[in-house]
Amino acid sequence: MIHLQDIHFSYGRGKSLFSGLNLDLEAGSICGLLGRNGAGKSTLMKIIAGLLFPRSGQAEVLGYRPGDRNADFLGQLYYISEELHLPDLSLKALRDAYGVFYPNFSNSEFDSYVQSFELDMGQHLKGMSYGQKKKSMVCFGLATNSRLLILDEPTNGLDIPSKSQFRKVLASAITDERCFIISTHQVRDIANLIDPVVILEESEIIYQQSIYDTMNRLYFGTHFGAEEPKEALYSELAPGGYQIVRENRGGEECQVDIEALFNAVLADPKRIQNLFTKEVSHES
Amino acid sequence: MNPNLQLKPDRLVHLLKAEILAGKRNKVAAAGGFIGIMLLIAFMNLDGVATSKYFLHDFFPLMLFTVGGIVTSVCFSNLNNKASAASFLCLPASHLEKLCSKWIQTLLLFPVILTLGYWTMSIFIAGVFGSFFGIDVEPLTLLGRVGPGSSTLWDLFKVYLLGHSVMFLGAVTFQRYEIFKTSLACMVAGTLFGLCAFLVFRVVFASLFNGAGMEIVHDLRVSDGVLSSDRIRDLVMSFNFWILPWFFYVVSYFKLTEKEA
Repeated sequence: MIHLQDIHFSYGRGKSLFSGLNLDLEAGSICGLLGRNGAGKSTLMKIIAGLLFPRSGQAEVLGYRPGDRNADFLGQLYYISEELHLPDLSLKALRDAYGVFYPNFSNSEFDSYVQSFELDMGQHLKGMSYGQKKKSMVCFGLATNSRLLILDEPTNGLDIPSKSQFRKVLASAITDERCFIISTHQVRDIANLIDPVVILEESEIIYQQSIYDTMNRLYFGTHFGAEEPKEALYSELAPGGYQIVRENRGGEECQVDIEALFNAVLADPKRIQNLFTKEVSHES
Repeated sequence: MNPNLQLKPDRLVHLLKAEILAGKRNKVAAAGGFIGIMLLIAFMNLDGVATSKYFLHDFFPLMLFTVGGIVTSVCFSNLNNKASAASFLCLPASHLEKLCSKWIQTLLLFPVILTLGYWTMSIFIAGVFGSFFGIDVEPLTLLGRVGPGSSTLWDLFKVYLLGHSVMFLGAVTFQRYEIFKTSLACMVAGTLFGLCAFLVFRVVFASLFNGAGMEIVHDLRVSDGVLSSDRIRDLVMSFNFWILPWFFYVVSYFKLTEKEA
């Protein structure tokens, strides 16, 4: 679905942001794109959406070259940026005026999402709070039924019930033909949703694994005691001991802690990468 | 065929509808401003002493070119901000459709609406002046001459087309202060072009000049025929009104395809 190969990108004549970046994503997944500020997450998403042009390399998204901004390609893509700029319309007028551009747009789905987020169809977008605007765009994006949905910091500004609703609607909307890419710093908001996890650091993808593979190779848990465990790939102080990430040698069951995973990968990316190249001993 | 050269009428209509609806409030405010300016013009001419019978005609070109220049130069203002540029560029329509939508709004809809609005207001003002103040004022005529001169509305629209194409290109090219940057660019380009043309003309047609002096050239001898200055003027005017604008529109299209957000 998304195939980026040897992408080089820089803003103006400044320092190169991406030098030979590669990324492949398949349909049927909600990809969590994580990284520090300035790592290049938004730039990467804009390259995928055709909003920025790579200086060299091959980009193919949904079978199109994104930089061409082919109307058919754009009809299968919806991009929600972190900063929002919305037309001065009510939600109903937005649906009627802009829904027609998307071949698979569903009015009934839009109405249902709007209802589930407790928004008012008659309310003008300009008069809404930031969180309400975000919810409106998420409703519209999901109702487009586009094959690729790109969300940059979608949970920013959302209240607690809305975050939960966001997870529900996103989980129910994903199908085998669709792919969602979510970039966020608030990993706990989408922790149970994303698979695979892609971590971008210093303009390079240093981690790209499914949740299944992550669980197979890494163990996330708590080590009780005052002493820091030596075998931990990453540890941080927690009540009563340490929260740790270590190699999962015995196939122990655990739940992936995305935040701990992110910190562990950033702390020693080479060590984590080496773990994924090794044969798994506990696999039957 | 390049998919970005697609021009689907239904999608273009949707685009026009969406853009007009989205900027509805601004358009209502602009209409209010227009009525205010018209009333101000009328009020300034109310004393009757210095009032020209054709003052409503005289103000029309100023109104058309000034307001038209402003409206055209901000028509791509949604490219100035990253978030709005992303929404605009990601909207599922071809670049040509997006360009045509702006072109229709600023080159066709705007002058027609402005002319009709001005015409209506001019009839109203002329009526009020005649009935209440006894001042004879000519309202704008849609089909005849504009004012005591020989220009018609069609002549004005030809000039508007040229100005529009320049402002349109400036609107796509510049990110901020489009109208000032476009005007400045025109002045610089015009000065450079004039200087080059003058120098080339002095070199090529050196025999027509007497030393450093400049004689008025009425006719040019080209091979065995004579090219009259009227004919030259017609050729230049045809180039300015029928070729140059389309060149600027084509460049605007390519500028739009290069835009990033």
